Amino acid sequence: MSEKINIPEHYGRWEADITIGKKEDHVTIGYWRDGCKGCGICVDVCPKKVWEIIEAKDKWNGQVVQVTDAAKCIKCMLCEIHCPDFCIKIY
Amino acid sequence: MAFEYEKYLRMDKIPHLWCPGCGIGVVLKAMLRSVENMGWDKNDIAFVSGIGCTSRAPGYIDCNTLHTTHGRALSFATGIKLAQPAKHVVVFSGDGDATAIGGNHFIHACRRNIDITLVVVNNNTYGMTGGQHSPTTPIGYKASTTIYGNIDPTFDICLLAKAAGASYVARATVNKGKMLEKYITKGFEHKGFSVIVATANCHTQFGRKNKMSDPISARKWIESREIPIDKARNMKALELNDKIITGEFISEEPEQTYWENYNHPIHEYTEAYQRIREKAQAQDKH
Amino acid sequence: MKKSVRFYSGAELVGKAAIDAGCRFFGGYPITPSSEIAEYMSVEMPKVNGTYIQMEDEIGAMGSIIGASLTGAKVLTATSGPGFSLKQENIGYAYMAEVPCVICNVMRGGPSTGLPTALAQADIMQAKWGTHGDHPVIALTPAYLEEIYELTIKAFNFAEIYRMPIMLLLDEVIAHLSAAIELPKKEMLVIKDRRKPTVPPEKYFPYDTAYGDVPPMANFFEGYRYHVTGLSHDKTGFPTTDPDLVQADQERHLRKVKANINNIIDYEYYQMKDAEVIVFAYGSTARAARVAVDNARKLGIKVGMMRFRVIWPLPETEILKLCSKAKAIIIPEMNMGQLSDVIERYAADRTKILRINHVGGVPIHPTDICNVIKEAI
Repeated sequence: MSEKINIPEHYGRWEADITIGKKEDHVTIGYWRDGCKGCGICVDVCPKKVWEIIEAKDKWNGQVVQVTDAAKCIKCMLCEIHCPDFCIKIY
Repeated sequence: MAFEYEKYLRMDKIPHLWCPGCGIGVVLKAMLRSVENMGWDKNDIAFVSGIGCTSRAPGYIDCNTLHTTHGRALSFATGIKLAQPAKHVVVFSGDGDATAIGGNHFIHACRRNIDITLVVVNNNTYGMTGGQHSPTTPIGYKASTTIYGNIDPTFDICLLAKAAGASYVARATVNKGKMLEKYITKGFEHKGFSVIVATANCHTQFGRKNKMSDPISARKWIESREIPIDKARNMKALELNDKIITGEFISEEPEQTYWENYNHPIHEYTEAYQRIREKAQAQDKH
Repeated sequence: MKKSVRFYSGAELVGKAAIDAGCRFFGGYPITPSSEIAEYMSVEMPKVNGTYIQMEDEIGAMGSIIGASLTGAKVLTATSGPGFSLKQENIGYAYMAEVPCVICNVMRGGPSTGLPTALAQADIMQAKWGTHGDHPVIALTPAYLEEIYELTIKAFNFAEIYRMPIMLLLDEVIAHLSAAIELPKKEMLVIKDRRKPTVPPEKYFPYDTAYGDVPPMANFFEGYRYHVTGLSHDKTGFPTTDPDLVQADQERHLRKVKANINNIIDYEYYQMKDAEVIVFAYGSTARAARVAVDNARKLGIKVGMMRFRVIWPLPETEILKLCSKAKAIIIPEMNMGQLSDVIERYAADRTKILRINHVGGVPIHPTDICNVIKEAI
């Protein structure tokens, strides 16, 4: 893909080759843990269960999220659009 | 491809002050994507707000931003727009801010049909002050001031805006981020007063008292009540009780008849005032 | 050269002076006895490419002028007692956010709806303490038609120089009075404009004290994308709850007027050279007081008048001096002693204060004042 990936250094990063329908593609998921408040909306809106909640003792509500398997991503962008905290970037 | 929100944000102010999972963030993002859709220059935009959780939004946006007094955002915005009609004025307001303390400014901004876009984030409560009941708290629900159940009937903000003369009115919920973006973009494009109501979750204050204290269940509660406007047109009033009708309530169609559109504004206010200036100056010469 | 003499009412002169001072936005709401100002502006503003808008209420009118002022316009609103009360919320905002604007209040009897069509000077204290919190205040009280023109221009200059709301207090008599007057030539007017930033946007802070107590003010839409809030804020304009910053900011606000008091205070002495009894007066009451002083002088009484053209801030040093030397100070007011209470604090026990307080809506007659002058000696 020729698109410019703009994920800052301090973001977590997951990558995978994926197939959407019959088209081959590549996904890069950026995630800003420090900004994440662990609300879990990304986990809820994702149709492919790409995200999961994990324990995080340093957060006030004790949780953040992480990517379980980037290869499952279909780039529907729902997690990025519905993250209230500007923490997810999908390329 | 990811959207570069950083372009429009004051990143040193992020993370924002809203609770985990708060709907306002989702609406703010939809609005920023709409700004990008319009290709506006950041220097040409004024974001104005009143008081409340929603009204903290402009502080995060890298534009000309104005955080005013409770309910008065539209009056400040009216002054800005009239003084600089070529610039873009966007008001970001909550349900209490826009329809309770700011109710008068709201209906009169609609009536004037001035080219301002108003985004109302309706979370059914006063979040910042501790979850008191607002003009959109549904009957029977609990708030910190209605622990025995709310008996105050609600406003339908869209119908109110329509009746008052706004020329673009739409509603979407935080569950449909793309739909929000579409309507806000249309509101920006629209020449006249546009109102976009974003139904949002306040699980912290409203939800906690009504058995949905986490963002997911609060969002599900909203989703369970969504009815598209085309479907709602064929439904009885009682069936629509407690429902959230989504879609476009009015989108300027000049060919509509008087009776279909009895309160339809005939002109945009700043354009009309420009004609007044020309008239006054022509008369002055004589 | 042709003299430009014509009939003006006091209300028209407020509007005329405002436009000559560069005012290009008027937001108002109808209220007796100030509506004539709005009517005049609705006719004249579009002629000079300005804007007149009748808002949905007094609060909205105040909001609209603050919004317009942020884009760089000079702005005016006009109201009367009850409307002035409603405006106080946003007047406080203008103090906090330091937005220049002029509020003309044609005073009427109160409290509440009071005496809509009658004369009073009921809002002297409301002009000072109407909104919550501490803030500086500048209020002007013209007594003559020519002075309305002069002081309205001065009000706009103060607003621009000190970046704050300025109160122009008229009363029903002078607002509705009409006379043929000659206005000064435009080229003779001194018009001040707000100081704008000279630094590039990335170095601009809207409340930067590096430039003195009155920071330069950028207009919206000119590349300085800054934040304006009514919350206590730091120099960047963003909210802060840091006690030291909030304290320093409040002190700076008050200093804007306190440190410049000699440039702001404005009063007139009449027959003061050998005066033993002194009348303190302002607004239309001063017109009656002047006649009373003349009449008392004819009786051989050594009486003079100090007339305040700017009532807030008061010329403290001069008042203190007079309190030490005067046998008595007489204060006629169309209220229950709003200025007298303040002067009493200055006077302490050094002189006696004689009050004349009429609140019935009828002007104070020179005879009433003259009688008190006679009592004083």
